[in-house]
Amino acid sequence: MARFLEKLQYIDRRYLYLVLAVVVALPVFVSLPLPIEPSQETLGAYRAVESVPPGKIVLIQSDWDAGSKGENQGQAEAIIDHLMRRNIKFAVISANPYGPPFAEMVDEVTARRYGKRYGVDWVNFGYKIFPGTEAYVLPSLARDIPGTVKTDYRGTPLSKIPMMAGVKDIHDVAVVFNIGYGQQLLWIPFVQSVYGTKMVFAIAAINSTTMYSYITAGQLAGMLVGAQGGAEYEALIGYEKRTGRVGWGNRVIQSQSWAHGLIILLIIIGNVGYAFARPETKRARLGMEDGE
Amino acid sequence: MTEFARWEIWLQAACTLGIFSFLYRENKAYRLFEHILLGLGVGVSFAATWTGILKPKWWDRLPLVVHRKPTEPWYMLEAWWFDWGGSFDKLIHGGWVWILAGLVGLMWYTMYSKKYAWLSRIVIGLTLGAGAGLAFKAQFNAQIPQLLDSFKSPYIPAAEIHNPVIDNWWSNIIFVVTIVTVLLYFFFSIEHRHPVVRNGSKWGRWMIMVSFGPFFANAVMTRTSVFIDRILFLVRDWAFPIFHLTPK
Repeated sequence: MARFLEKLQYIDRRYLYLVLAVVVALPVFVSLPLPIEPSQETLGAYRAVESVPPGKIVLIQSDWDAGSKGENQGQAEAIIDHLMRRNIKFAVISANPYGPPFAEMVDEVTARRYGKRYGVDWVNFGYKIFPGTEAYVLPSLARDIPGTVKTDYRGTPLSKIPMMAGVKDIHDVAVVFNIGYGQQLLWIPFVQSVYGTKMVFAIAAINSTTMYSYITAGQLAGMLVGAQGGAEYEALIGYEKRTGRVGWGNRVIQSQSWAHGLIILLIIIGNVGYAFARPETKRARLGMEDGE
Repeated sequence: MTEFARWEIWLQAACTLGIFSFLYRENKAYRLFEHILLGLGVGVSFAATWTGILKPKWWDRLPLVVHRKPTEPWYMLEAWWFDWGGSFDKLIHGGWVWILAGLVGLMWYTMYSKKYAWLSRIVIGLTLGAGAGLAFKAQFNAQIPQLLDSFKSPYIPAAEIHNPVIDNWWSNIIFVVTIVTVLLYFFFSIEHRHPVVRNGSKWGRWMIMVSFGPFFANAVMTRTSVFIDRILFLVRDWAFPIFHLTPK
């Protein structure tokens, strides 16, 4: 029995991948609605949108792409839905060359739902922040948006885009969202702390841990933590009730719950195997010589 | 959300399965898709950098004949013709300064020549100087508010309690004790012999270990989300239509 339990440490990882794949696909077959309680940081993001005054726009730095779709698509869909439902105009800018088409996909689908028009209700500036030049571009953008951006991602000059009439600098922007795998931290020293513009990060969970100090210090108005943040935001805006479909964040987080259950189980199994392992095996695993 | 043609979904599925095949073992299909995706990535980045950044921000600002005759095939040759009268105003507003910007940018590449490498040091110096200045400002603006926020009182007036989970005396005490002991752990100027220093730094180490917990958990969560996205795509968007099934 002890030998069998010891072998639990050495399950071929390919079987584990297969089981994980099956487990995360379960919600496609069996719906598992879970209670979602919005966290303080998600509430902060929601309140930031709710408090946008008339006449001001929201600026979204959208850097997510295929690689971070699982974490960011739910966040983007919920934020854009909220903005369009509240008739808040917004501009999208990207520091990732692959970012603009993904942002546009969400914008266009949501716009069809609310009858919004490109150029009138939203604009996509495209890839305008070259990585490494943020410290120069962001202050320039804050001082002069049309002068820095010049054209939207279709090549149309901003002067010909109706919603940009009257938008000159960061004072015309109520909130800056940063949706992406990582955070564009330089918004804080070069824009938030200089002009007092509200900042919200919607980022992958892996990058969220170090961001809490920015929230408590008041530098961030809110934060969406990975797919969970997206699911919480969807719950706050009643996404499923209004659209008639489960939001992407909620869908991912359902699979996530199954996956976490499996991972916890595997950690227990691995530790049981370790507990029943022979002393010499333990020493070998730790790279220890005999007698150590 | 998916708005792709059927063949596009098959292509996506082939790429996803090709990359996932690495989980079984290293193989040629994985290598093929890896190289395709890397090539696509570099190509898209180059094109997007030109059309999104270099063209509107630099090329279109050059005082080139190309602006007047965009359809001329030999406009590149004409581009170098100009009638600059030598005034500073014309240098700035006529766009000539962007030619200088291009030349300064090209100075980076002189590092590949032994004879002209000194030119690259000029731009490296400029970049380092500007970078250091900006980093200095960024550190101050980003960290000072957090430093001020780390001074927390063990007494909180009832009127200032907005969220009982966060705004409470014991939470503030844990915060202050943690910050002091972690700083103590990383304070190497004195030997950790005195019981207060020794036990304080030990507590700090425990707190660091505790903080690694959420770090690791969030890392697992992100990796799983990315994996879930692909599995849901394969099941819902690719496999289900093949069997005429409708996902829940």
